[in-house]
Amino acid sequence: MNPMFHRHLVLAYVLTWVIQLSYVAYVALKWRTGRRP
Amino acid sequence: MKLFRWLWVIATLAVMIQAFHVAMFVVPADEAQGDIFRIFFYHFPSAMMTFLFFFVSFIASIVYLASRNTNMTRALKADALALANAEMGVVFCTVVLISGPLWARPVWGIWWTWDERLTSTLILYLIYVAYLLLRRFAEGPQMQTLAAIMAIFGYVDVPIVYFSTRWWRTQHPAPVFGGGPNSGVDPRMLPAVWWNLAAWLAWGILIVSFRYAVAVRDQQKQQQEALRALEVAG
Repeated sequence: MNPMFHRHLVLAYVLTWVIQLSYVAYVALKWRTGRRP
Repeated sequence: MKLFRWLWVIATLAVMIQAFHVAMFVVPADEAQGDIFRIFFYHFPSAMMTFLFFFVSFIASIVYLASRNTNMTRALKADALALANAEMGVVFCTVVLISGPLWARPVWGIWWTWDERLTSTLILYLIYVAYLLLRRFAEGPQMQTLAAIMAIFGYVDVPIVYFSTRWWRTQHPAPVFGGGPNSGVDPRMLPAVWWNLAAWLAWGILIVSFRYAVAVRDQQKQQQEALRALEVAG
């Protein structure tokens, strides 16, 4: 495979996880903020 | 309940790892596209999850509107569920809109084209982003009602996205399942499709359940604050 296209495959997988984990971090932050009295 | 949640976390991670392994190392590369086709194993399940979580948000919004004057407890739960699922749907739709162009560039030679499938997906995304912005910045008792109406009308775009490749001649290929004689994937690819569908479904349910709990707690806090304000005023 063209090395540039290989980069696309890696980027697609990495960005998927970055997006999903960013959302998890957002929810976790909301959870923590709400727990404070 | 806590034990069940932890078991779900462990099961989700196990299925995730297996799904990644099957997608990357077990199923063969596509004959025409080579390894770049493996983007499909994240792109397609994300699109399915977008439809699913927006559908739950749509149903929850109907329940909210139907019960807001008769059963406030149920209405508030439905509202929290609608919000959690809409957010999760937007997250999956973001993945679709990013992984799609990354796949399109090597295969089609372009990042983006304004064909019906891509355009209707972008519109769907913008509708639900607008829904989340409304929920974030609008205030007052009418906000939840307006948001529910918006989620219901927004969902009308989902069938348009799904059927766009059948109704119009699009650059985007036909649906993978039930798309006609020239659609579908090589049967050897199916294990990766099923594993990734299961993995992202388990992941989505896990995160939505967590987000739902946060939304319910926020509602309870708001109710307590409103009661306290009434007590002070009285």
